[in-house]
Amino acid sequence: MLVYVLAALATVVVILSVFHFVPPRFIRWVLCGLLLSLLPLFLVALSTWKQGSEEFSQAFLTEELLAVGLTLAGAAGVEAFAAPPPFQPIRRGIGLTTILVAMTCVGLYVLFKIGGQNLSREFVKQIELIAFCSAAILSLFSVLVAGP
Amino acid sequence: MTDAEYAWLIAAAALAASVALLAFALTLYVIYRRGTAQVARDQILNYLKANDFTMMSLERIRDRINQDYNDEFLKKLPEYFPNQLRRAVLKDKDGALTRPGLARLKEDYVEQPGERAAH
Repeated sequence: MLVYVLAALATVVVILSVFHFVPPRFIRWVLCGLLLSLLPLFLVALSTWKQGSEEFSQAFLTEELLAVGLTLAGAAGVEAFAAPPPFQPIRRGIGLTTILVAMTCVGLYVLFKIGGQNLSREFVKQIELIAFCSAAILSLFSVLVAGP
Repeated sequence: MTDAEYAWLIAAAALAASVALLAFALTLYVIYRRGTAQVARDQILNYLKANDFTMMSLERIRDRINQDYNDEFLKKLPEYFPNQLRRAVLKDKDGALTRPGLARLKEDYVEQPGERAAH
């Protein structure tokens, strides 16, 4: 599923590139924000996977991954929410949605962690993945609309 | 994973996908409008510079550049590009300031009375 999500993100970038509307700040965000944040997690998951203790996806889907997604979403959401005109209502709407999704994901995750000992490990991992994907995708849109 | 957990996962994924799709549509709208505005700005600035004009009326923009640019869209351009375009009012045939238009900004620009304008 992670591969599908990354493929979807790449497709969005390619579609936008075709229209020549990808702002430089978006490329900086992908390179410096997303890739650099995910690189250490990827390396750690790779070493864990090589040791054979668990599958790569299980090693990659950790609390740190969620923290990366929520940090990106919080930063990008606030930036979009505080962006000046034009398109201020849309910018504020997407920014606020991104912040709300990040906060909701944090709340849900804490609830699952504290009161969800009876939940299966696979379910928690999938919730982590959905939370990370939502936060990452919405922060992507926030970055796109926040500035030129 | 139990059936209840599976149902919760489906619901969460559907909600997340719906929000993401809405945000995607709004983002595409903003990107499209911003791109259209950039094209209009470049066309207007190029026309002004090529003819050594400082400002031009909205009617002339429609006449010489694109007749699909309506007043509402053109009046928004200085809001999109405040460091390159500004609103202006040009004189009509009777010499009264009645014709809305757009003017370009220059770094050392100081508006002079009787400066050359495209009506």
